[in-house]
Amino acid sequence: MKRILLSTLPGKLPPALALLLLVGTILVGLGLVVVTGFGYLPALGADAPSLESFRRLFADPRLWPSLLATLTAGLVATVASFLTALALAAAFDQAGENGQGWAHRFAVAVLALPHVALALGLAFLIMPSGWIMRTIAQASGLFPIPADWPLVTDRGGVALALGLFLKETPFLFIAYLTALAQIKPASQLLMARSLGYRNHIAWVKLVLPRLYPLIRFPILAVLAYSLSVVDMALILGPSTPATLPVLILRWANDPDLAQRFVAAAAAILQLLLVSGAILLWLLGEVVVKRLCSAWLSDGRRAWPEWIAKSGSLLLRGIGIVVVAAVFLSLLSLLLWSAAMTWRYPDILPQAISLAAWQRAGMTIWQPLGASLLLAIATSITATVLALACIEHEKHVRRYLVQRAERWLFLPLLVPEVSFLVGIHVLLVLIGLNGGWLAVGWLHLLFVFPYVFLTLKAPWRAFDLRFEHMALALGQSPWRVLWRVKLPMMRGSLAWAAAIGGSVSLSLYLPTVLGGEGRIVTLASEAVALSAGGDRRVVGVYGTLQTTTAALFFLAALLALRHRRWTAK
Amino acid sequence: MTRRLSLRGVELSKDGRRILGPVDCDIDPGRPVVLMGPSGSGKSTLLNWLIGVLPPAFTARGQILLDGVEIGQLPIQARRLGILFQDDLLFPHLSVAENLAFGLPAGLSAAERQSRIAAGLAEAELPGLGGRDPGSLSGGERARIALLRTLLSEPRALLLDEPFAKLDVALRSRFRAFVFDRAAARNLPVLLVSHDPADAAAARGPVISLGGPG
Amino acid sequence: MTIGATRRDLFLGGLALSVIWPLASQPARADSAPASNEAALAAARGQTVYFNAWGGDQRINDYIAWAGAEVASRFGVTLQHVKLSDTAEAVTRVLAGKIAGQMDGGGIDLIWINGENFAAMKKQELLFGPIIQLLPNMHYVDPVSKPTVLSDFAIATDGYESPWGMAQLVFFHDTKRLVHPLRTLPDLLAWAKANPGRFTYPAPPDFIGSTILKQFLLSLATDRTPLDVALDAVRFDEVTAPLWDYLGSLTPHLWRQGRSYPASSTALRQMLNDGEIDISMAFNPGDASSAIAQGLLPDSVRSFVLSGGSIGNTHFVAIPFNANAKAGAVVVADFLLSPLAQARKQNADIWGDPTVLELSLLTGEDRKLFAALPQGVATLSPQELGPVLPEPHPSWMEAIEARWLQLYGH
Repeated sequence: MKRILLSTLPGKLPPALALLLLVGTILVGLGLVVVTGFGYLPALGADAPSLESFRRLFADPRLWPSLLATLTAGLVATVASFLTALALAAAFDQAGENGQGWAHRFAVAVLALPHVALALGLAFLIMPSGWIMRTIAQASGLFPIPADWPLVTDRGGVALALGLFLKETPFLFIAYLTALAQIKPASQLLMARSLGYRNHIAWVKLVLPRLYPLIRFPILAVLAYSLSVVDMALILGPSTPATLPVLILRWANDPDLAQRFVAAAAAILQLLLVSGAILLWLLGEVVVKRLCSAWLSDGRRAWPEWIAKSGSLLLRGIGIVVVAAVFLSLLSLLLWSAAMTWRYPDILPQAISLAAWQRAGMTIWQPLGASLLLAIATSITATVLALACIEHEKHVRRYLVQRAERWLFLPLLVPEVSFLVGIHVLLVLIGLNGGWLAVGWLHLLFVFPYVFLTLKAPWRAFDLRFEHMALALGQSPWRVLWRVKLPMMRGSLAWAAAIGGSVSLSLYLPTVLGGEGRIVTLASEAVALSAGGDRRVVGVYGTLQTTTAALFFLAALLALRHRRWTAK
Repeated sequence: MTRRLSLRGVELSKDGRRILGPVDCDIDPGRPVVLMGPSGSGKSTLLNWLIGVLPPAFTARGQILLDGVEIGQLPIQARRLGILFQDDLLFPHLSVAENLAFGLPAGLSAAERQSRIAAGLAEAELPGLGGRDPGSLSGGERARIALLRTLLSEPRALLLDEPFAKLDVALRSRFRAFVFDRAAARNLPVLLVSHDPADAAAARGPVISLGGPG
Repeated sequence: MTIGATRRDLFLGGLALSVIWPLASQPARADSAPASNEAALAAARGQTVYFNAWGGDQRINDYIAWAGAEVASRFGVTLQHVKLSDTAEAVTRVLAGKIAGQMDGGGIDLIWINGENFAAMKKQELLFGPIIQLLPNMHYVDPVSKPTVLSDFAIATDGYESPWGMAQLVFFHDTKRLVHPLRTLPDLLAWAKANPGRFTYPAPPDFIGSTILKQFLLSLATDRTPLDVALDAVRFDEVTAPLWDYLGSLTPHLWRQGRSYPASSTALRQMLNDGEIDISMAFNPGDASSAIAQGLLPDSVRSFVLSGGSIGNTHFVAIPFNANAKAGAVVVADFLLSPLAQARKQNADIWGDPTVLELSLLTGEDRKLFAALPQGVATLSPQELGPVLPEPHPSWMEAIEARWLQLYGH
């Protein structure tokens, strides 16, 4: 009996633990928020359920414009990044492996780029006194003083949508390329071309319908994230009024404790908003499918020439804008970190100084160490846990796996402000607040789904016969895992861990709520300092945050390249 | 010492429907048994069950006896049934010698391991290939190394899952002869699944024909 | 069968976690509240004080780091600065502790606080105290010359707060574009009409944004007496009418036509530095000088105040009811109030935050510390700063902020 247990290693505990850890925590957090939203929080003297907080929420004049801006920014960003990433993936899929190389590397670099750093850099790029307008002013002699134009923090949320678009397009692009590698469309495309189809149209008619089911989840995650983002919205989003997630955070932190009920009610609304948007998206899928089913098989083999040409030109243009915007945003952060003064309309800093770096040199080590510790610990834990979950699948029927898996992605779909506030009360109740374990736990909630998502596809693609062969050669399951499967999968493992580490590095809200400010990371420092309006200090932290994340990916790339680590 | 692998009343079902069996047979060294059937007849799944890795969608019943002892309840690594698949499945991160060493039983001295590997390579007429990367070998060389790796693990029977199907015709008959020859030399019962009549002819043993699915 | 297994696994998982939890939660260290300063000094040695203070300004962070080094060497107290982006976060945390029944061993020992945050904590009984009788340096504080040291936004502190610094609303202008300061609100309006898009203020309920509304209200009011007491709903329209009239004429000439407002006063300072606007404001008279010293503002920036007086108040430190290191927090609060720490804080090269101490009560030695301080290039002298107007009663502000949100905030 004991031996059989060994053979079904690593057992059933890890998946159950993962579910409990992730889903349980979030559900408890949501539960506490819902209870509060309906006016029940005895510690504040509220013990009669009521709809009072909803009444106050809907009476607030900011609510509707805020909802509108939240929705526009979120939907525009999602649709734009979905379409752009799709077109780019299609173009690069047809360009073959060689063409993909640099685009893939660029996308990964953006993946490593923390949201806050990108938002700060982008804001400086596009604002009326920013880099682009300075260049125009210098070249044209117009604008002796900056124009009073709403280029950032605009009421419609366009700047926020742009920031999200820059960040999410590369994420989706990578997701698409990964999915494409799974369905291997080359032979189908060849077949279509032999039937007289032009490449683009063959891709849309043949590859896209198979690709879409594989990329649906990343899109929904982007949709949910874009509607719930806090840190980017603080920097790029509208201020009068702010987007709903930012308003929730304000209400939750309002010194007037009665506002916490409004915050909870708004958090419930936020949850409904995201659920509604997801439903809307799924509905859109059905409509598009209906409309296009006849078109798919109408036998048309090419777009009109001008559409194909202008489309490819437009795509090239967008691609260049994305790359340039990201690159210049980063560069501006780096320049700011070394600037003494840099005022409108100068294109380069008037004076260079390393003072900001020197001052940071005295205070940076603690947050840097904390960031690294959390990133490494949570990404390793998440990788081990994800590995255990996926290994466990072998012993379970497929539909059960899928059913359980849906729950694991809850943290990516539920708006974080909606449950983190409740989780904080839970942490206090069990005495974990303000400690490393609490922060690690909250980080794990967000790190795990990404790691799982990254590891899942390559791990499932692993040829199980290698494992069977090794076992049949008389080796123990542990030894087979250790000597055969892990070494053969080390690239995917390193990659997943790097993704996990970079997610942990960029987490703001979980760090602040779990650590109660006693645990300070680069991300939490960057946001706290950005409130102080000193771009030089923010530049230092943004640069460091980006560099740290980039190092994680660099290490993963090295692990991928190093082929034979067991050879003498 | 003679060895015998026996199957008693073996049946495979998927989602409650029987797809294979019942199969009863005795397999003796020198007289390979061939299971013939089209793809989808469950013959590869049967081998999976024999070595102990039945996919969760399937259920199986029946007994596996090795020298009269039931081994169906043992974990995979304790059954000691050697297997060869269509692909050689050499571990790409290990050198040829390391692949072979992986199959060797534990508890041997370093010198003993070295000499067994060297003897094996000589037996396969591939001396001096030990330090090579498996990726740098030809298809025929890889197939022989894979067989050698399985044999060095000292199995008590040999299961063959169409290991000749992917080799080109000239190589196929030579390698087939090599496999049967080595297995006979080591006194191993051999069970071969295949859909190639030439395999059955070459095995010169009993043939069990399986129907298609349904 | 598999479903059953899953339930059992969940149970096992729960069991595993319930084993981990008690190990991880630290036992609350009992810290009996100190009854005297001597007792506090004795108990404080070896304690770690988590000081939750807004962390958005590197100068202030550096100052707190200096204070930390001092209390470590003098009293053996370790000071940890927990940098907040919003003080209300700390209120939330203490509240969460109370909700969860954590009556001792809390995570926050000292909070930098005033105004609404203090009012909320006092009302919810989230503070430890009264504490000022435990602070010997309170002897140098004179509530007669500086009444706001005992009255935080018209709410009596009742000894639950230790004064830390003085604040007064000051405007900053870039003399390259706005040569002469605007001393009255009609001047400001006329200038804004001539220079559209060059003036704005942070959106209330941001602290500075709300203060601007109060300042406008007080400057425009013919009779300020109704504002000193709780809101009179019947007279609200009548009392606040001048404010709404003024904003009605000013708003179309604001930055972005008053359709958007910056989120904070630091964003405002950044905009002045970028040249997007010509006037910014802060609640610290030394703010411009130290910003210039750091290169955060052009050296052509100068300060001005409205004639007729500007809003002023005091900021404080307070100790939560469930603080883990109350003795250590008392020792730190007293050190922050000491002439040495106060003089350093007032130094324009370091922070430039005016002292709460009454200089005439100090010894000659201590007074010299203040006499030697440099005055920043853009800092107004106490005479130039003019009279301090006390804050209106907080109940008025809630109503005014609500009205502002209705009119302009969306």
